[in-house]
Amino acid sequence: MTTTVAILLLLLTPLVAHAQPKPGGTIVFAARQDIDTLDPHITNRAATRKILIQFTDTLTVINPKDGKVGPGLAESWDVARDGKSYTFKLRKSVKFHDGTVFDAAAVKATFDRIQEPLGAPGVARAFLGPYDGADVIDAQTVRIRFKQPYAPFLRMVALSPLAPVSPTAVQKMGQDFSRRPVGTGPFMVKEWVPKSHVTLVRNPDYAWPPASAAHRGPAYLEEITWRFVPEATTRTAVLQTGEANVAEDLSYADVAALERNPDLRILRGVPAGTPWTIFPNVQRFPTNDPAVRRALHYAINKDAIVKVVFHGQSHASGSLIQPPTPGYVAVAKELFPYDPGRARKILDDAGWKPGSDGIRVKDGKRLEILWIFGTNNGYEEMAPLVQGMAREVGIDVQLREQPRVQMYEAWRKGEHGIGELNWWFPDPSILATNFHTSRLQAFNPPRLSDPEVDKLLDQAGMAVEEGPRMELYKKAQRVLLEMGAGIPLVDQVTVVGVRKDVAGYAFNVVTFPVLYDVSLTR
Amino acid sequence: MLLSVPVVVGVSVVVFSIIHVLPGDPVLAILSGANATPEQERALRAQLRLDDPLVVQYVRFLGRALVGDFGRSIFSGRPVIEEIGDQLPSTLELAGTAIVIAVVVGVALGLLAAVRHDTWIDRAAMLVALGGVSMPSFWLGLLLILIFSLQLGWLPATGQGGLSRLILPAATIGLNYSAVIARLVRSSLLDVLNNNYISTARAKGLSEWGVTLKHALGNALIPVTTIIGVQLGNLLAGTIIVETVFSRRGMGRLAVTAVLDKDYPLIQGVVLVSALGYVLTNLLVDVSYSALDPRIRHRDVAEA
Repeated sequence: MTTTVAILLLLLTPLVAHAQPKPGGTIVFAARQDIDTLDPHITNRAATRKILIQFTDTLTVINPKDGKVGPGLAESWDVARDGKSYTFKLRKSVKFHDGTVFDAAAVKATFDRIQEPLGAPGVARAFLGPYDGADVIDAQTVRIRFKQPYAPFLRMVALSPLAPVSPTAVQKMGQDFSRRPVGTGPFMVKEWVPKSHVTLVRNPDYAWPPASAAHRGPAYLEEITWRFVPEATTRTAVLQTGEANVAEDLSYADVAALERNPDLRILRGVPAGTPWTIFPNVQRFPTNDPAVRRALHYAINKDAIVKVVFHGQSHASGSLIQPPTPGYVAVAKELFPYDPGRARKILDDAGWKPGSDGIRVKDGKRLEILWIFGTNNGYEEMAPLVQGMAREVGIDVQLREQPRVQMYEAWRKGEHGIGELNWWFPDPSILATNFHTSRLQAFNPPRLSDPEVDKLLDQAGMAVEEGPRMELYKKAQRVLLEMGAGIPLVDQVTVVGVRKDVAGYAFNVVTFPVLYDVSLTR
Repeated sequence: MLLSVPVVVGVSVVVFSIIHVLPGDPVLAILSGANATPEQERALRAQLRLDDPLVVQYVRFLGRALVGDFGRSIFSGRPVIEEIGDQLPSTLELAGTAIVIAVVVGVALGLLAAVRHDTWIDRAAMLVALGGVSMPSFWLGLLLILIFSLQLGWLPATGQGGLSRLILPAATIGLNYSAVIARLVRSSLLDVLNNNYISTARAKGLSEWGVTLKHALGNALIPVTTIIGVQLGNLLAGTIIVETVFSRRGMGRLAVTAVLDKDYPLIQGVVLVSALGYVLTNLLVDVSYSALDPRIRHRDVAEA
């Protein structure tokens, strides 16, 4: 009996050996967007952040499967009861790529640097919130202080723009630091050839991956060539020819054909953040009438948009944030199912009578809404569909295209009837960016300034306990949807193609690529 | 040729004025869409030094431009001249190769059409030319990728470095431009072929091809050189479409991203360099006139 077991075990060993990924190899990653800088503290582009993830680590890590915050470079932390300071205990034996030791002083230097004016402002400054300074308690302990309670900080510090960078490198390299930054990640920046590619090489000393990673120790891949391929059709082509091993942001129309290709695999992820959403301007006629806003929502057939614009690669939105975002509650489906009949009734009851051309009229004024949509903002195909659906219930949606900068200007002046915006973001506090009075200067497309909403979002922003905080955000979603401040259409979905010899590709919580566990199976 | 200097100076004034003429506050335009703090706004304003009198700013700008200092890109922090230096070689090799293809194909087609004019060969050649001019470069580029990269696997679809990566993008541009050259060569040749000295050559007993190549072609190419000059000038400013489709580096993508980012120092540098490119190619064209047309050469000498 024992001999049989022994023989069986012996026979099974080669199978186990095969399952172990082999180190080595280079891959080419075909990226959509060009980068403006590699400096985490200057960038405001997702394109840069996708590369940052490969060569930096963050203090905390958000587990993409359950959205919970876990240890990263910080092993544990304490949050003061008033929410105004966070004390982190840092991992030992972590080094930057230039050999500098990672410690509390490095964390302080990193956050202090973000405060300095560095030319073009990046998102790091906004993520750091009401930062008031950092204190080095000892080499492994650092306390971060805030001017007022900052509840989202544990999630913000998991984002790559807040990743610790080597203070020695910052001092030594000056301006050049933005071209070859030094972090602690599993890969290191070898070179950046602008508009062409970034070359990343393996960090041989890496030994501190987060718990959600599939292995310990250095990365498998020796080298990654991050090529910028801005044209979607070309990205599809290089994936098929094998010039690229991974291609991101594939055109939805190409996915069906690519799935039939036996050399490829298609991976899909839903990022945390907000869906493709339109926002009626609550301060301008006629969208200042809640009946009009609600009717518009009932009039939109979201499944049709999924079919036509997204070729079935996504699904109708359930709320003003997307499922992986904590606090998500799918209220939109119960509150606003597709019901053009109900839309017409609401408008009739509110005194909007159909005119001779089918467009409704009230007190001599037509039901006309101006949608100023941004060039290349992603809504170009959805806009005419929404226009058609609105017309069916007697609403005249006019479309005007503007470059994004002018679109933001138009919002500030309140010239628009409909605005559009969507985010990748791991925390429901993104709702404040879309709906809080304090954001009227920068974003807040619906131009909302509602004291009840502001109070809800402020309380949630300061609530340190996760449970009560999420309850507040769930209530906010209901309130905002019922008042028609935002109409979520379709969830953002990330589609990535990999060649079948690429194993271990992972999405993080906002579906950015994580290449640490990637190996080539050949 | 002397007119080149005032042209360049004029361009520099226009380029300098970009920031000040556009509506809206330039600093706010750069910062729009980002959550900038008041300190960051102040820092950017100080960096751009927009508070000095206009003349002072212009003189400073011109003085620096003359030594190749266009300042630093707002977004990358690198010297503008370095950013341009990164992208220019790729544009130069693409422009050069594309023009060579355009001239070879265009002259061949035009030649064929003229010598065999009013036959089916003429019509076929002009049909090909019409096709070349009508095909959008975006579409043609993707079509070439589909056929030569995907289906046949002969050539890589993207990047730069090496002849194999240069062929498809250069062919996309070259085929477009060759159409214009072909039509011009044909009509120019037909004009020349009607002249007296051509009848003399024929009377001497030269074949039709001999007549055309020895006597007619040189004269016919003079107006064509102007077109080639304009096309080369165009290409030196970068071809954003072909660069995007084939993921190549180049002045086109640099210019477009600079404008979309409102990276003013970079925009100024790129526009000035592109204008310089035009001026230089025009000078080249002027010089080549002397070489091609003895009448102009002798007239210049006689006047001097």
